[in-house]
Amino acid sequence: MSAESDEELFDADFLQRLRTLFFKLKRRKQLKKKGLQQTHAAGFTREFKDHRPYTSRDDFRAIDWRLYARLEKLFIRLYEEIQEFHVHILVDRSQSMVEPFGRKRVVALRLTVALAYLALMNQHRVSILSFGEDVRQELRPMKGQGHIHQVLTQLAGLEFNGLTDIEGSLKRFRPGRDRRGLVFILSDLFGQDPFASRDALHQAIRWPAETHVVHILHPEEIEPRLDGEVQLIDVETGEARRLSLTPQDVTRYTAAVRAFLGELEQSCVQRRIHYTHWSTEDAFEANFVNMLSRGSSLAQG
Amino acid sequence: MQFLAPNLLWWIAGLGALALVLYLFRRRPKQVRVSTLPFFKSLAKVYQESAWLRRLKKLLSFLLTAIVICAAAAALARLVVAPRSDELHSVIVLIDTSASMGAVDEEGRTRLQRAKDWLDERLPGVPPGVAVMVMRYDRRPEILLPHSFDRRAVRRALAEVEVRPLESEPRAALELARRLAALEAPATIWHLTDRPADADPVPADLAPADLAPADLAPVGSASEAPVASGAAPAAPAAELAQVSVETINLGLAQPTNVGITTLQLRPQPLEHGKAEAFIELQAAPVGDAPLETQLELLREGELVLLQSLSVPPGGTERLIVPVDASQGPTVTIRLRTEGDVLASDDVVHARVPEARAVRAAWVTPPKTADPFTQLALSAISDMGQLEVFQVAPEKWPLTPSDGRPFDVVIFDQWLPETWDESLQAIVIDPPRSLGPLRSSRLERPLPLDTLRAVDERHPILYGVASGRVSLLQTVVLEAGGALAPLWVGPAGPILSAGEVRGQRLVLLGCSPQRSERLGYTASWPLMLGNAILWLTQPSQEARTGNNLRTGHLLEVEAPTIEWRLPGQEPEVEQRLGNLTELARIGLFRCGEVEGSASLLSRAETHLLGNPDPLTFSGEARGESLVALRGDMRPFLLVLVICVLVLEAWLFHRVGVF
Repeated sequence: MSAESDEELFDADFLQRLRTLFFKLKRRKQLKKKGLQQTHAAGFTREFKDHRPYTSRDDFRAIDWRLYARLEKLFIRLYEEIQEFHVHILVDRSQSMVEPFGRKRVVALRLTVALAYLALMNQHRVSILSFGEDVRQELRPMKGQGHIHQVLTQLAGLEFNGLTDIEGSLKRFRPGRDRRGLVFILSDLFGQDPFASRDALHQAIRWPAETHVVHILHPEEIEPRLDGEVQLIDVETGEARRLSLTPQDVTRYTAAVRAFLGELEQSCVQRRIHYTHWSTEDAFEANFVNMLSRGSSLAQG
Repeated sequence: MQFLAPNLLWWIAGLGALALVLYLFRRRPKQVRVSTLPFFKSLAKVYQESAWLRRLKKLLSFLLTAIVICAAAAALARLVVAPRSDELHSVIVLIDTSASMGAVDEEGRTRLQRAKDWLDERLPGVPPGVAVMVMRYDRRPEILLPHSFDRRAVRRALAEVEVRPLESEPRAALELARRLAALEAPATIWHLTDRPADADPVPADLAPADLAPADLAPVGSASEAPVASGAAPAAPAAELAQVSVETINLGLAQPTNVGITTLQLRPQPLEHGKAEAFIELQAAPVGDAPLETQLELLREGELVLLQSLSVPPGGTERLIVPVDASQGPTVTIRLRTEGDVLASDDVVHARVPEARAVRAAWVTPPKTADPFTQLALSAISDMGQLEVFQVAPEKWPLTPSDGRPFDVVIFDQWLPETWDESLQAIVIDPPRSLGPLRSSRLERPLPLDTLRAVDERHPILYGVASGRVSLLQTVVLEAGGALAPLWVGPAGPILSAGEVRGQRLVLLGCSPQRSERLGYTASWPLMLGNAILWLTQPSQEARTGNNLRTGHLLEVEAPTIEWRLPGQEPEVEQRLGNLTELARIGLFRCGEVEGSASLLSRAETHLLGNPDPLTFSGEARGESLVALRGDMRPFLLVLVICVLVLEAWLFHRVGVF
């Protein structure tokens, strides 16, 4: 299954609006390389930020003597600390992302492009990976917004097929010590066992990064429009199951899926994983901003 | 097992094929590709049955549908399961509905009601596979319901049975029932009557042991359907031997009954406008003491005679009662007996014969009219019984001025050119032969001092002193044929009388005016009067009022018949055809015919005592309750309903219940 064209994935107006935004990390101390990440911590970079009164706990080297000469009060100079971090984007490329609702794939790719664009624009290193039965590096870490075309080209040629082994894939995904930053997992989390997917997300605890799980679902996957005698075929495994569905059965199914989603979100919250339920029918831009804002990973410049 | 409507069995093939096609080309389930199959699988684990159970349910559904189709088709084809050959196949209920079945017991219930009560108790014990036929009889047998497995139809037929005031003729009914029962042998006949079993007039040629093939020839042809007239289909001897008769005697223990068994109204001789009623009473042969009864004679509802009578048990009492025609056209005779159980033989309504003088035309040449004959006719006319009109030959044929026809025509010394066969005629001194009259005229009259009376007891010669008559014979009558000579002289018959093709004739071969010892004697007017009465006897009898017995077949062309009882409003019944069986007691008018109908039956009045009411006799066959026999439609319909309910509960209860 080939991806959409560049034009479908690249919404110029939307990406232009992203220029006013940038990522931020909650745990900046772990970062070592300097980048464009702005923090409130005073640093020794050349970018002046502000003055504040001197206290005994401050480094006296930071006192602005010029200002003391004029005001006869001690102030220290604050500089912006520009930090650099990695943004890892893991895209689910299993068959369930294109069948029966191909809209999930489009949303996943557009979201990947948006995240990559935002990261590249802010001079972060971006890695794009895909996972299905195995995890695969689609684009090596890159930096600079000039790589966006490469991103688009690579994503447009991304094939969606095969099974979902999210547990094995996330186990094999090991961001290095120098690859700390943000991890975005874009998936419907539907494998052979959804509850195994839930448990697989526990791997994120060991990652030196803030993890965002974007659970992309089509509304009919929660409330299917099925009734009567149907033969259900799993899009990944091809397994068939014949059922006689009544409205009561559909209601029970919806309740089971919602319960699963609730458990999944609860599990993520407990492990400090930001979970976002992304419906394919929702407005993309609003959902995007809301996702990053609620996850405290977005700041406005 | 057989199908009464096998052509409808094709439905089973068509519907079965349809069901098979529906099964083979049943709708395949819609294939849906999903990404959340595990959730559906977890749902199926709890709420969905397994595949084998689903297949089993589909197969079961198909089987149930097939059962419904087969059962419905079998019901349409009227599946009948015949019993085994040694089991009872049919029961014929033969009910006596004659007048005596209307006798009431102490509780006021008639014997027919007791018969119905008995059947209500016995019929539920008849197995479903045994066909039941209902017949009734009085004078004639009638099939009310052919062989049927429908017990409700049997009860409906029994409910319609009513007592009719008619005499019973059990012989023909029993014979017909036996032959019909032999068609569905082994069979039993429940003969419900008030007669003892040994009184059944079973024909000797129908006794099973004595049956021979030649004796089995039916009254009608073998292809004729059994009809109430007694014609019955042929039945083999072996099957007739498998027919038993169970007689249920519904007679009362001590029935008290006195009834009128005979009534005859007849005009009194030589009494104008008066009649007499000959009445015979009969008492039932119960007890030893004579039965006291009161006879009432009513004219148009008013009592005109009351007479107490004593009738010995089983005996009769006869009496003659004068009836005056001027008191009304009808007479009612009623008996009042204490404890009488049968009412239908206690009353008789009758019409009094019409009192009308005989009209006679004396056709003779005026110049040679016989004065002795004229004198004799005048004498009879003075008594009021005769109206004589002297007619000249020139006025022949007769055209009465008042339109009333003549009862008798007296041809004296003259004959018409052509003979009218509708006339009752006296021919005196015929000039020639004509019609049935064969005579030879003597050239010289022959005086006879003595003549021989061949039949002095003939009504014409009643009171006539034939030995004292001397006359002058002018004509020799030819003897032989239908005319019997009454007086015979040396030359041949002088007086002849007889009936030729319904026409009564009296021929006299002498001249009364020239017969001195005939015209002067009383024998001449007496003989003439006797001849006139004898000639008019058929018409007089026709005017006796048509007092008939019930069961008589009245053949009149009229659309309705009107029944009436004295003092009550008449009832009009529509007639089908020209034949009507008089099955009511009362006065009737049908077209121009008026008359009355009464029971007048010695057999019905002769009620026998039954020391043991509801005694069972004959060969009673035991019935076994065998299910699934006979008409299977009710069972099949119940099966269809049960299967449909079961299928609905099994497969559609979520939607239905």
